[in-house]
Amino acid sequence: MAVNKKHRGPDSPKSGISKSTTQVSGAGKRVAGPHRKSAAYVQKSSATVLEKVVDISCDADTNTVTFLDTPGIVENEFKLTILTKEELESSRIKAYSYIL
Amino acid sequence: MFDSWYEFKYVQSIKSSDGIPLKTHRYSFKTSKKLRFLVDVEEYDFKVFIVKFYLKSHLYSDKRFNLLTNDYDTPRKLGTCLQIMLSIYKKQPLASFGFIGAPIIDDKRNIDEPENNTKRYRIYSTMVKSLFSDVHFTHAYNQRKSAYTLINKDNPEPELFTKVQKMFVDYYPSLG
Repeated sequence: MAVNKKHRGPDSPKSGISKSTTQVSGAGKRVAGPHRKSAAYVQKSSATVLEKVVDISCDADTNTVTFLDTPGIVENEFKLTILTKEELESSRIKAYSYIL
Repeated sequence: MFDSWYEFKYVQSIKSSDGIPLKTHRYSFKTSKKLRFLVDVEEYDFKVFIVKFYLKSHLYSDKRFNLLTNDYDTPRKLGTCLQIMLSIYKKQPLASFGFIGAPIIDDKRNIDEPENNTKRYRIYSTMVKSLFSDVHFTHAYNQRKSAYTLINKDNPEPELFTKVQKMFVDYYPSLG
């Protein structure tokens, strides 16, 4: 019994903190669990999910939402923009001389 | 600022088993603080070279491009990479170049930079804008992905710009 007492977490009944639920920041739900360790794990998982959910493309015309990380569904968005001569001139450090 | 550099040496060229990139040309230099850096110049189709550098001791880390070395020696290290690019350009006058400013990851200081317009991208792009004119190169960038290219205007390859853009997407799927 003494061993059990030693290993009780802060959420155990004797600690004075309710053990029934743990609020997870940003997750929007309550997760049962007596140990802080499980709460931290859930929080990390939720962050990963949020990261994926944010990365979406919305089309108001067709009223569709597409997950950008879904392979083969969304057209690749990577595009290079060419700098004009004026843009190049205005964004360079003029104290330097061109080497090429 | 970027007009001083370290003496560098060519180490080896490594062929990729799948041909992507065609080869990686490895260079090495040692800083005044006795830190050994590796510069990997990846060669792709159409004579496109992507320049990457990192601390040799980070060689086997998957975060080698993200980690900070905190040696406050950036201008001279970038000057060295610049000289390596120039040495390639001398040998291959149709060469195009590119780089991606990797986001900083520093667990000790709790820094996990987003990939958009990274600090490295801002420094590297300012350097190449200041030192490479538009006479020989078309400057093209993607700020959201912190990617920058210098596309060689002398290269007669048809639609080189479009091909380079596609190549970035094919070879760096994370950019898409």
